[in-house]
Amino acid sequence: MNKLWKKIDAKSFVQENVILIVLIVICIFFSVASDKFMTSNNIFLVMRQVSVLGVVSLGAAVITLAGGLDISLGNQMTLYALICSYLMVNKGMNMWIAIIAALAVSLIGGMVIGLTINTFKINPFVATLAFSTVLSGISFGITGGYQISHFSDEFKFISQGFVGSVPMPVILMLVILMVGAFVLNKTYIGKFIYSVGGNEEASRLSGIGVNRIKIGAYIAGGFLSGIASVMMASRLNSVSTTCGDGYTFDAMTAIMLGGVSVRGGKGKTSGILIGILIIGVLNNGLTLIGVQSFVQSIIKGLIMLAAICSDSLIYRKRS
Amino acid sequence: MKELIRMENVTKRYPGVIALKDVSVSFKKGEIHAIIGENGAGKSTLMKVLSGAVSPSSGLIIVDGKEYRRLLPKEAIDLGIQVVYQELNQIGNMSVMDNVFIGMPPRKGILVDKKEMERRTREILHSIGMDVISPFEAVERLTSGYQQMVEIAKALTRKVRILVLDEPTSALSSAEADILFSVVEKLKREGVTVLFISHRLEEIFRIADRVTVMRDGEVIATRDIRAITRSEMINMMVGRSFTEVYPRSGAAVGEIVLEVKNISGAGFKNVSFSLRQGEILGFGGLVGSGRTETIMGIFGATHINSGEVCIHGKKHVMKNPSDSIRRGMALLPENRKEQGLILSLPIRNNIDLPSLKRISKWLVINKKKDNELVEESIAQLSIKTPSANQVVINLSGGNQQKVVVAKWLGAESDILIFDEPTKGIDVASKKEIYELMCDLARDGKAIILISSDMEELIGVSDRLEIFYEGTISGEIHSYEEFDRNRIMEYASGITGAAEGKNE
Repeated sequence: MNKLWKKIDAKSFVQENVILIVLIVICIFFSVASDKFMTSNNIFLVMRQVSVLGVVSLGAAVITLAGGLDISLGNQMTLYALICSYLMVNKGMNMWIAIIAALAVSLIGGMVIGLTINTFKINPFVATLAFSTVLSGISFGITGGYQISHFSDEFKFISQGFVGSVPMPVILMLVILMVGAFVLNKTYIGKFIYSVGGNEEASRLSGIGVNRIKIGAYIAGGFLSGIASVMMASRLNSVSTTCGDGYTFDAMTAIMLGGVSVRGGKGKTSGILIGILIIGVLNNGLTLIGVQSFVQSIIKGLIMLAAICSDSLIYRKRS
Repeated sequence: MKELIRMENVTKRYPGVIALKDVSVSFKKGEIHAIIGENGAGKSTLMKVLSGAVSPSSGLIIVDGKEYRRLLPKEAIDLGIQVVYQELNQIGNMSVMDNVFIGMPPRKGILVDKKEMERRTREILHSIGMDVISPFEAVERLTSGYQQMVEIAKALTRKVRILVLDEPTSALSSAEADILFSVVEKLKREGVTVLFISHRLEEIFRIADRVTVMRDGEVIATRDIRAITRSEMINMMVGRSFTEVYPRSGAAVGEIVLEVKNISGAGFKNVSFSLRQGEILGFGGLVGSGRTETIMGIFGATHINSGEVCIHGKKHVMKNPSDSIRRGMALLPENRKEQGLILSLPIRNNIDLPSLKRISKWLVINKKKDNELVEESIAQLSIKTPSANQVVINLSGGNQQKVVVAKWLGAESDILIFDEPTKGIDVASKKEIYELMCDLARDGKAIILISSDMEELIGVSDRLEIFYEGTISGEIHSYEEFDRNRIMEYASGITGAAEGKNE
């Protein structure tokens, strides 16, 4: 009897921690395939790369958990990064004022998107597809297509500095993820996000302001992409009109790998962290072992498909 | 008249339920045969056996002297059995002729022969006297009456010998229903057998030749329409014996907590009633009579166009459910899974949902209070679960319903609306729900019970309001006066119709 229980426990442990095991397997694979992978330099590099993705993924997760979807997050990042850099470099503004301005715009951006989708009750995929084109148009307008570079050392510290031996962006990401986990799990706003994503009508009949929660999620998503954009600008040294491209895809893949359901209402912050690490390790490891970028694209696309398929399988098994 | 189809000792068992019990019935060529019975009497299952959608557990279906153990959907169609369901399966933005020939358009090579399609659509529409409908009109732009005609036209594209109309008039105005009846008469003259499922007795007396009354999965009788009276029919429909003993609250009735004056909105009009502390007020009526619509309006989930809702004597305008919840109202919706629960979340998060704001400080949930609330509710309602973290989807129907109740107990509501609370749950849990309602009434809560189960309604309620076509057609003031026949009359709009429908 005792033995049987242990067996079941082992099985459910594997089931519940599939993605953690996947992450470990991937890490083992790359450390065997490349001797550069497990060096401290490379690990720090991965961590720094992952930090920006981590923050924007949390934004994508909040929106998705509330039953929404935003595929303009990458384009939002580009715009907010450009606004911040333009104000600092071209207008010579104080760094903090520029950052606050970019974050303010990010709040407005998220609000406009959330309001549009929820006022007109439109499909968020199509709506944010439209918004992403609008956003990239504005980005081009600001720079005329040129890059903005030459940031102050103070600004570079955000993503390139260290506190003790820990990279600054890693600290930022962990703090933000912890705040995110706290809000999602310990506050009623967080519970409302899950319930609205899980069943909008039941939530409405339970007295929850469904629209407020959904719009709030888009605002939070915009704001987090704003923070991510500042971290990204600081890491890149220069900002172009395409610098945020790819973040939407990576963030969506990361959260789905982490167990966030595209149907809303399901997913944990710890899962998101592991999802982010898988994407970060893959991006880094595939380049290290010399996989060509077109093959990388194919692999990443297939991984996203696999994540959606497993989500669908779990959903069908349940109902 | 010649016999066309006979069913002999047809039984259909589902796990735990017998939907059809030894049903024997025959339909003649060219008759209009009405099938009546309360919700759940087995009418729909019987029709599904006929159309091949359901295969019977035992019994025989005899068509043209040939015996079948079951009909396959294709066989049924080949035999000329066509069903027009209550919910129309139409593609609204497509044209009439596209809908009529959906799935089997006339072809010319690999192309659809539009000309032929138009010609044949006109021909069929003409044959039922519906020349006014253009084959090119989009179906969604037609009135529901004409949409019904398009559905019938669709059935007529194939050889039809038996046409089953499942509550065809439920969405029709009386003028539209008149058109439908003339079409039905026309088909009858052409030798088509029409099986007419309806709740509305007056319609049946108007057009049917014979009537079969069903109750609890059994055929009670088949009679010639001239050989039966209304009250006999009602007696047969409701006269089931008292098998269950319902608990009664016996609570002292206090002051009025909810007063509704002449409210109208989508699906209900001029509804007035009042509800007192400690009272269980039953809402009777047929499915679709406007009971759910009315309480959704009162709850603020849909819009009220006119009239007043007063809670504890004060007038309130509910813009949304959170307004009404703040004033102590709670709704246990009809569709537990779609409206009452968040299936993907654990019991805990379902129970504390309406109470979270109250037990939070500075947005942060007080873990201790949350645990108390959840654990107490689970214990009080004896919800059977290993832990509060169990996902709701894994619970049985009865336990799920208890979770919905728990949700509102925790929220400290004092006006509770139970919409079909025992639908689809087992007998033991039903009893627990009744007892719970009585306990709540004794605690001074005011309760509205919407139920389509007559026995339950009579068994548990202290007072009844009966709905018919969106308005209250009759009220029965005390338990002693509850009378099945009278309730059925109100619910079919027979006696109350004069006051309720002065249009």
